[in-house]
Amino acid sequence: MTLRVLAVDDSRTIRDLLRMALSEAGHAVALAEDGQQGLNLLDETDPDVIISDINMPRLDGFGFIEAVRARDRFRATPILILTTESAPELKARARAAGATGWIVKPFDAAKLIRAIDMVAG
Amino acid sequence: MADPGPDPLAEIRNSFFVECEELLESLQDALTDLQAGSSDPETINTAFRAVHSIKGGAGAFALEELVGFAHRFESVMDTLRSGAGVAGETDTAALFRAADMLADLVRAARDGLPAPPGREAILAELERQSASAPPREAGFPTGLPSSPSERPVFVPVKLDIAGLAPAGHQPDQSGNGTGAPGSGTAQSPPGVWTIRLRPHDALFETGNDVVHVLRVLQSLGPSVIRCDTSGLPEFDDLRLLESHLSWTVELEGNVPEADILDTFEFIEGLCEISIRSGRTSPGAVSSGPDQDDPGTNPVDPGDARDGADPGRSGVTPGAERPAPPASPTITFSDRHQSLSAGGVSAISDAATVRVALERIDRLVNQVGELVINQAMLAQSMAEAGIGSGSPVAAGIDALSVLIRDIQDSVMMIRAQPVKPLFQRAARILRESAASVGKEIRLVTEGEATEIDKTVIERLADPLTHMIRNAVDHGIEDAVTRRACGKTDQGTIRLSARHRSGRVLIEVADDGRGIDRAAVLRKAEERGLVAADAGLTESEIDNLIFLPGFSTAATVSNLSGRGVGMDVVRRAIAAMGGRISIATELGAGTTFTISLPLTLAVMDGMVITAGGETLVLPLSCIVETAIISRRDLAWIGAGSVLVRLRDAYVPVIDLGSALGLASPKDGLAGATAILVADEDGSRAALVVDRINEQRQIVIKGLGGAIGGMPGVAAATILGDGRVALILDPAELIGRRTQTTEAEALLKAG
Amino acid sequence: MKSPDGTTHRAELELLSFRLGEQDFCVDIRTIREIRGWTRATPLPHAPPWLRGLINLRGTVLPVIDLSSRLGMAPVVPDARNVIIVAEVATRQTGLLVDAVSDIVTVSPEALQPPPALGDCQGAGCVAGLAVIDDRMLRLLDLHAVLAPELGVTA
Repeated sequence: MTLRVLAVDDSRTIRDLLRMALSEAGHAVALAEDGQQGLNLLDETDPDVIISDINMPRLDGFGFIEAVRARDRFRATPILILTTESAPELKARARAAGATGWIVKPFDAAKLIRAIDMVAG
Repeated sequence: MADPGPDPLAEIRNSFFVECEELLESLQDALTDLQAGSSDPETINTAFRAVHSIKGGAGAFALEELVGFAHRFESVMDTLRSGAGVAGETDTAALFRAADMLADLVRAARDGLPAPPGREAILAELERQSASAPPREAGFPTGLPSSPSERPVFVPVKLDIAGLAPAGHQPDQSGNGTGAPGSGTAQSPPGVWTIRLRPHDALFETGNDVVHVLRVLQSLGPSVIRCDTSGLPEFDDLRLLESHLSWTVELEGNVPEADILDTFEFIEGLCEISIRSGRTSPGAVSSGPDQDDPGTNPVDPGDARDGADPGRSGVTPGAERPAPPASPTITFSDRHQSLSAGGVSAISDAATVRVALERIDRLVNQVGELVINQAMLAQSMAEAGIGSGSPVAAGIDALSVLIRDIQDSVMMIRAQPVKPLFQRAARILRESAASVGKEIRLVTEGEATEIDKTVIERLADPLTHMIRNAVDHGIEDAVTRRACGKTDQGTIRLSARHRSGRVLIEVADDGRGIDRAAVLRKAEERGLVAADAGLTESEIDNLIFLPGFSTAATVSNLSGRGVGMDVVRRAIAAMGGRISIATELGAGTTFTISLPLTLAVMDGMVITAGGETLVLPLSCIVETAIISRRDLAWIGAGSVLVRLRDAYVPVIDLGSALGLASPKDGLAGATAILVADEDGSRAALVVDRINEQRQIVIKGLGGAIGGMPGVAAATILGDGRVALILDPAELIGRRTQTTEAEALLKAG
Repeated sequence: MKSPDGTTHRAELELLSFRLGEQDFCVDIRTIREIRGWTRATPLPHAPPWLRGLINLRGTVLPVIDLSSRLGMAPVVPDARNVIIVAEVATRQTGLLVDAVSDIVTVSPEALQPPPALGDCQGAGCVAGLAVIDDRMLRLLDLHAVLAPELGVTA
């Protein structure tokens, strides 16, 4: 099943990796390089799943998730955060902001696809 | 991994290293701002993010040493941004060293080289400094509420696995009250799990949906899923974000326990979960319904979402969400493509595209060929006697204008800001200043000035040498400076700017300046100049560019590797550039490098001298004239001057000066071109004739031949022949040197 | 073991032989890019006599060396019969002006004789070995040494 995935990360490398893995899995990918750009692309891309980094300029992941959740249309859209450490505190904070789940970097395609399966599909 | 052919991962890896360079650059910028006393929290955030992103990408490519270093570096930066702050220069020095090491590690990883040594010392120093700062709350960096009570509650829920739970384990911790746990375990077939799931309201606030969890569970093995709808209130009482349902899953097939646990990774703490080994007894799902209850019929997970998904009304599934467009994928892909084509910077002011350099180079070469072909065409037309008034000639003219525009555009693609060059210089300065124990500040100006990429690359070595020179010989030690009434800290100013089609790069120090008497003495000792040469101040200053000249009393280990300013000058001359010097004793020295914007094209004057076709850069030509006998003057036997514009300038018989022909018999009536170099030195070049003025495609001489004095490069003319492009400044300088040599000869 | 060019299993050398005056020379064929006819080279000012000048090789500028003069023999007075061997050494291409290209010969390394000590005469270090084929003595040139001054290797 093709999902529309909006991936938000300020690292081009991570965006490239996400795009490659997601495209190979047959999903359609839109990329944004920070939370603000991600918000701007929400309506246009109407994602089934959102993947977001936390540390980003302009609007960080928490702010982005909160802003997404504030939109009725995206209140239940699954949002996965990208994090380098599986710090419980980080996950807790992300969850409080409205995140659905997380992907721990470095991720491989299988890990990524599995995380998506657990929240959408 | 060993898959041959185009490997997208390898491409991303390459692009990762390109990104690293950008990140290293912004790290340098941020550290420079910190050093300058910036208190903007975004500054340290930027630095943190740069290191963090390098770590993230490095992790994806399993670059362990890079990850390890970046991780510790990042942690220190995290401490700093959580409030400890950066206390001026001492702290930033350690950060700069770490940033430099990070850059080295990135490059070592990129080139497959072993990681450079000394990492531990740098990290230890960095951590020692940050440890003296007040400790920060452990955990996640970005200003997390520090009081535990402010933190969102997230207590990991221990899963209730009856069959596997150790003795004494309280099995009903999830509190779902489903009766005596484990009661059916003994008589159940092996390899069957019974999983119960009751979401809390909070589960839906996070965008989680039981349906996906159920589907993943289903994928693990043969399963039966029952939904318990007994908790469902009357329709009128139904509230959107409340959870009323629970599910029971019987999973067969000897599924490893860990796989089941993984399934609940995201919803742990957001629902009641119990996992038991064995099959549930009918009716044990909850105290309420029995097996015949329609609510407990096996359900497809697809149906489950209707009751639970807050995004849907539960009555008309999917009604809230607009139906997807007929071909959503294509629409989306288009969007994606426009995004990625724009370098994923749709929001940035200027979208960018990354292109392989070789493609640009190919384009540059092709445009070069186009220029040559156009010249050939024009020449053939002239030879065929097609007049300039003809429509064909007009078409050719229009074409040449167009080609010129294309050429300018292509050159612009190759242009890059000098910033990375300046950052490299900053690092050289830090390292060399530290090694000689001087305190030196670098001030940069015009970092955004753009020059051809090749020029930037070839400028790196000369600039490094000049910075080291300035640190070693230019700036005095603190004691000397104080004695002169200067600040302890020396300043080196590095600037770039455009001026009339060229780029000027200046390296200025506020050091001791050049001691002309010492320079002259040294030059005389070395036999570079005659004792009674009577050089002007500017001529003395320029002696430091002579091969083998070095003003350092002791050869320092930094810039004294037998390479002097003559090498710098030659490197710059090889790019069609020039270097000049201005110095004041006790106040400092300024070197000015003037460079062409591009190494690919220039406007030139095609001339004939000594029977050969040659090209002079238009930028150095002041005017052309026919020499009149009454304007000629002689000094002694050898030197000829000509009065042009009310000033006497030396005459150079170009054909003979280049060794292409014997000297002309008489200069009167000859065609002369008045040229000037950056210093304002002038000379009149006598040529056979002036052919035309046009755009020239510059072709390199291929390295070593570039040492040819007076020759800057070559070009290919309309007839397909190679013609040399001259460097008038060198010609003027050469004449001076020849005079010196003659003087020396006479003196000796 | 395969040789770097992968063409032969024994380490045999393929050599391009050519004439300079009355003498036969050869070079490792792997360094040769192409052979082209003589065209007038643009002279370089103050260049050593053996540096003949520059020619246009399909849009790039190629320096041409008078191999005879470089080896201390009489300079070639080129005409249409002369050829330029385009060699690539240390990633740089250089044209070698010779009288005529003769042949491609294959020799085994054992058949190569080390060059006799020639003392300090010009070009002595340029000969890497001697090969005798059909009663002809071929002087194998070490192009690195031949081009050293041009490449700026020695300084």
